[in-house]
Amino acid sequence: MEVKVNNLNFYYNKKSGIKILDSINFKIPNNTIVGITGKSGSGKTTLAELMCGINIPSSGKITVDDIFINKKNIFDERKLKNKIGYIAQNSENQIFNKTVKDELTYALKFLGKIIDDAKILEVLNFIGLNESYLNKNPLLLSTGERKKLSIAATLVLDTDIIIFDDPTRGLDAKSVKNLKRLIKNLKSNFRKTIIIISRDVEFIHALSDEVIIMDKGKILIWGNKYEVFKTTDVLKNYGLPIPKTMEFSSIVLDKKNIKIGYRDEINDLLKDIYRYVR
Amino acid sequence: MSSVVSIKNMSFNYDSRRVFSDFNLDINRGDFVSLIGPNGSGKSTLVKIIAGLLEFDGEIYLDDLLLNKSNIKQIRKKVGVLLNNVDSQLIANKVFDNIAFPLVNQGLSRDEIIASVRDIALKLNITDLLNKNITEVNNMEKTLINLASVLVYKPQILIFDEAFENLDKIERDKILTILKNLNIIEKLTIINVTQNMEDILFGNMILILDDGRIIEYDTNDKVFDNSKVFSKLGLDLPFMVDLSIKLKYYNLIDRIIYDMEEMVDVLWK
Repeated sequence: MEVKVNNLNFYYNKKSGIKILDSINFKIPNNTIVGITGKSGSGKTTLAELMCGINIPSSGKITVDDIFINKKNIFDERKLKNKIGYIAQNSENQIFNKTVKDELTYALKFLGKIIDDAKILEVLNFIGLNESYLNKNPLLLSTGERKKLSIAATLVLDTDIIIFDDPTRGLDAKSVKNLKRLIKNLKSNFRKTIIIISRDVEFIHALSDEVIIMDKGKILIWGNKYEVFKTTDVLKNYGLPIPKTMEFSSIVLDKKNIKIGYRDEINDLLKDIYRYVR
Repeated sequence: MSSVVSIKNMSFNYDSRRVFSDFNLDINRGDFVSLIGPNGSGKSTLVKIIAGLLEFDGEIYLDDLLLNKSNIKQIRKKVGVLLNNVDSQLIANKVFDNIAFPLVNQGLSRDEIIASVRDIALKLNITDLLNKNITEVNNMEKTLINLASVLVYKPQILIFDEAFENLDKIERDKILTILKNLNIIEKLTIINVTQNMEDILFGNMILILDDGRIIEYDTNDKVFDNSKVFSKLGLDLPFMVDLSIKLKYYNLIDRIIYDMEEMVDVLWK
């Protein structure tokens, strides 16, 4: 299931002339992980909200599978919610139901879908919680547990496309590792298409196939992750951090004219260094 | 005493949970301590206790003054605290007023207050923000304004409790560089609670907590020598430290190298 964005423009207030999103064009291929990053205020969350139908484009269009979202078109909101799930920023503080079970089934009920208890348990276990949580009060859970719950509440909808908005904020290293594993699993075993919005370039780099970098409502650069993060001059100029493994390989190339590989993880970089230093 | 923070036999419970039991710690004046540990280890609780925000059993001396209810006002002047939520400490509409607020009711004249605020704004390079509304500034600027509002009464100890979580790496490096300079030039003692392991390279001491106990408390170099404790607790290492340790293992380098360009030069002489 693909997402296509064509000539998208968005203003909150046309009179102000301030474009929150300006001439956005890109495509998200099926079963890929696309990372969207950029400075605060560059329009990342607004873009996600438009993809989910929370806001309507001022001009241009978004295509989610076979649903068209544009200013003039009335689309089926429920159909869209069945295709694309959104885990918002700060989702762990947006839980309003009295029990974990209610939180997990709320959206299913809203969409008129069947509630399959076995499936719900499956999702709970997948996320690292378990059956004993079902009757608990979400407000009494730890931040990490609430974060997991908010993710599970979207996963039970079994949408083909999932957006994670700022998922690592406030998480400790162990939780970030678990989240990485989960997202990789969603891609390879569940064939999902995943969009990650984050300013944590290390997290984006570890997971994404493609990367979109936004700057003040426009796309600065987008494409294959390695090609994008290789452009160290552009990124430094913009003021975006560069993933450390990429920065290292770029320095080796610049200073020593040796092409070691571009890697995601430190252990893979280590193998390259060993090979090229000997 | 060269200890600016001295904790003796401290105990603290949260609801029915024992967080600290017979806890002891001495922090030397002028140290920049990175406080790390898994979630629930007590990091946040510890700094809140030091800042005089929580009642505890035992004795704590801040700059030789025993911390208790009767001198809490004096203690609060010695300690500047920046908590996790950047908006929670901003209480006035105008940036200027947010920074001036701690000086009100201190018996200073209006001119003295204005001079102090201008002074700290100059130091932090935020003079152009002083006349703005707090709604007009971004997250990085808010963090600097919060920092100004604690520095304005010239505390001896600065405490940061995961205060830079909403900044990206480049912004964090800027703030931490400012803090490092304050630490070196003005001998400000700093305790920085963080989940971000790159932050710890700005300090000179690392304090690792787990389950209310001190696992390690030593200089950066000595703690990195015992790096296994990081993985044992589920903590990451700073990238260059991690890479150095692994390259050392393969005899490609002989020490921890913190600078990437330097490491490239050493590897490919």
